[in-house]
Amino acid sequence: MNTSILQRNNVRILGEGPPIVFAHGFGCDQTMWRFVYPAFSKHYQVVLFDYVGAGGSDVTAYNLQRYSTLDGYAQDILDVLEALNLREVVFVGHSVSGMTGMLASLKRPDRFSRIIMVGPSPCYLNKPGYEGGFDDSDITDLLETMDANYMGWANYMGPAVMGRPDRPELNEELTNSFCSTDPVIARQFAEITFRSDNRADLSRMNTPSLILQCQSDIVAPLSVGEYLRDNMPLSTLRVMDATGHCPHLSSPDETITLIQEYLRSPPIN
Amino acid sequence: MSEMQTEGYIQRTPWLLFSFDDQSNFLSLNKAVSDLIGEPESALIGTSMASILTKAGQIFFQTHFFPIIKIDGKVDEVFLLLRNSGGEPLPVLAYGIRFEHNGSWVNECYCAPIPQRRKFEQELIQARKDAEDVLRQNKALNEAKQALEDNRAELDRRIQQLERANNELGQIAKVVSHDLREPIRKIAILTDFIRSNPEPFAEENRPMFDQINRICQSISRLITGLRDFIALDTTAQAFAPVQLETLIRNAALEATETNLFATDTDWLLASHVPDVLGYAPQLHLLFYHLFDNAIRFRRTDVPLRVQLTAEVIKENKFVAVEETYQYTDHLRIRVRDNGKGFPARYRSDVFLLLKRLDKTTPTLGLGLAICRKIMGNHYGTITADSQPGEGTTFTILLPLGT
Repeated sequence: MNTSILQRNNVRILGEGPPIVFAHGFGCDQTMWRFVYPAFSKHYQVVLFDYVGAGGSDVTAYNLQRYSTLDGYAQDILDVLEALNLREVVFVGHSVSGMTGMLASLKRPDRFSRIIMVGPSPCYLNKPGYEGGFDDSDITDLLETMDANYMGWANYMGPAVMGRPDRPELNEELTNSFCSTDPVIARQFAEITFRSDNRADLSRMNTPSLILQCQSDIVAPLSVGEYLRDNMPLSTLRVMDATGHCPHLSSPDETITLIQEYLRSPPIN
Repeated sequence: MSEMQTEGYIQRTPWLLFSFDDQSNFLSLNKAVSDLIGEPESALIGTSMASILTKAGQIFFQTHFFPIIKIDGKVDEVFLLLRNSGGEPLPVLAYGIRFEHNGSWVNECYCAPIPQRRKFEQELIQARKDAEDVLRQNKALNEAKQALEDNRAELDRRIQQLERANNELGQIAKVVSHDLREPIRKIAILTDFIRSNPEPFAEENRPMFDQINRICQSISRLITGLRDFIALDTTAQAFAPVQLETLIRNAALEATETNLFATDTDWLLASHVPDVLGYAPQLHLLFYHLFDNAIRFRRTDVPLRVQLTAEVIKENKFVAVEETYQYTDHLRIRVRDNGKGFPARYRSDVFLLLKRLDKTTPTLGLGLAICRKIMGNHYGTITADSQPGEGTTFTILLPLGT
């Protein structure tokens, strides 16, 4: 077992049984799953982790190049699965982790049995003939909002983009909230998340997947869920009663029930 | 303070005060909120509070504000972008607390509009960004960075080449010191024996002469093979476009024609294999050896099946230099057979020069070493997965667009 990877990604393992991996999305960390994973730790080996740069991960392992595309994040997933020597896992990914999980499974299909995507989107931006929900100006506004929220840390930021000097005092400051992270990392994650376009990869998907689609989710509207269902082989779409983008927080019971129902259903081939 | 006074404050304050449930629907709101949207309170209760947020505000609310208030129970000093009925943004500083009331959860939010402060803030952020941009856009710096980047990619390739060359030298040294020395030692023993006979050319010595002859032929074959292997160095030539799909089919055809036991082979070769840049004769040799290998090590009790699949995946193009990443397109080709297979512990040994796992098969042990060298010449990799009785899968990974 590769303990350095487990430390790097702040991996936590609970329970015994077939493996189920929960991956957080943009914003925050594995804490987001706290209302959901206890329901699985009786019958599954629950694996929780933080992407490098988020939560309790080793921020010094962050590499601007590696994490400049979702492939770098997908590699985090594959690194964790390899370190634990896990195959055929059930993978549950929130938000952008739906696509990150898909990218990981395209590279190593043997590591995944089923992928559950909570509020996924293959492309957040509107494109000709495709309604992603956002224009480029919305993403610029979001990055501004994030900048404004890191205003208090402006002194620390300086020319951080030119390289990452070790800033332990910053880390201390940031541990106040589980949603806090290094502003440079958070900004880059936001940018690659909301400017990503993985529509061309969907047709190659050969791991069965469940799309959990919230009603009136601004981040991933219903039309996006339907687009995924229509373009991703072996996918099942379930529209939830829950609203918003975080059903695992706002409606954990419904989220748990739908995941369990899906895992009980026979696999589609 | 009386309750009436409190209610007066709440309704008169320019702060936006409202509460919402976990599905983000309004539970209550003050006059400042209904003024912002231009709708009376009664029309807004139970509707989604998304109506007072810009799209960016909604993303940030869903990915940060709501998770924090739900898990930590409160939120302090968060910047949010609200909007009015005309779509105009209103920057606010938001605070929130969460509590249980009559058995259900209430999230209460207080927003102070900060349009003036926001302007100063934006100026500050802009100034910082400008400073960063100056650094970033420094042309000389950028060029130096690009040169460094190019050098790193070049360095990575050179290191790969060096590692391979070093590895091969070690293998060739082994061949010279063992595989060539051994037959020569045998010849020496045989000649000694022949000489010890007072009649060296007696009929009884004839089998020994025959043996010396066979050994010489085998040494000659070994030297020819070794020469071919060493000659596979083509660093001087440039890559040219290769129609891989046709090349693979031709290699399969050749492997079928040159082997006696291949006529019943079930070939499942992928269509739509993309074209690549490379050395066509070498790539032909690579696939010929992979197919030839499948045929030679086939099982005799079942028909041979060889399956070739191809797909484009993203891999880090840096192999030898650590902590450097650039995910680029790579072609992954898998050649899978249902042959004899071999124990997994020999996964890397099979690519060694003159390594023969199965001494009963009449081969020199050059084929897979050649395959590995060819992949090296193309900056790619080749790996093997196998289980005895379950067949073997060779996976080659070829960087595209180089």
